[in-house]
Amino acid sequence: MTSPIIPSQYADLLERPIVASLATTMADGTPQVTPVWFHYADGLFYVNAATGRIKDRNMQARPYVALLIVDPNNPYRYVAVRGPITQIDVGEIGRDHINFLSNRYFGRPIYQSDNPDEIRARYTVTPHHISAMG
Amino acid sequence: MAVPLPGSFHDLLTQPILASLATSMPDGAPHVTPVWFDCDLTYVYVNSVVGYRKDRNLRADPRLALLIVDPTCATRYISIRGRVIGFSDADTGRAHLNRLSLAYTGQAEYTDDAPGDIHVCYTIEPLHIATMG
Repeated sequence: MTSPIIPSQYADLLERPIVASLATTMADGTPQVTPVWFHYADGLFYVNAATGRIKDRNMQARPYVALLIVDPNNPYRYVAVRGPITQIDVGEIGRDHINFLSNRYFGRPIYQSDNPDEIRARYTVTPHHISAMG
Repeated sequence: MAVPLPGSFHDLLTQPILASLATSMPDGAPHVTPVWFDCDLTYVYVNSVVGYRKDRNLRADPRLALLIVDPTCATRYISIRGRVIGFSDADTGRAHLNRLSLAYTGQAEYTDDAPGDIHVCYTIEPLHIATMG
């Protein structure tokens, strides 16, 4: 089933702190996929990355992604979202967002990074296609 | 030319972990789904149904990315960029599916198919490896 609406019976997959898979596109067109924290609010998905990372460069240059959220208790049940990156907020919003996600996923309100100089960005994904299975 | 799969991540490559497979849509946008896989430490093998979206994507553009996250530690993973170098025949696809079914569910024969589903095993050549943790 594919539609722009997320069926309500999958709402839990959007609320729970599940580690999602984010697919972006490399400059030569090859796909790239990494695990990400995310959150969902008011119909939009938000992911975060440190600037300069591959996913950041890919999302800046080719702002269209796919996000996969699998039920950790049932591998046959998942939501897959495809859509454009419609906003990128670098700096303070990105830093506040990674702290928000750190709290959501780990209960730690300040994100601990290996690199204290890193700059964070929050990427807004507007869902254009939703597949829900299981 | 396949790049070697790192020995320190062989554990993730030889366990029945649900992986994420990313392929490219006709317009170049990414598409990602969960997949079973196995690995002989040179190539990675993924299974699907002929005609599914990922199958159509790969037959048009064989480049893909595969992510395997350590189920005990979300900050440890291996992310492979590669390409399909072989699309199997139906019998090989079915035999591979049954091996995966045994590994992932304990059931030696996969029985969840829709009537008429033809399976295909993709032989994937790793071209670039990224790891974390």
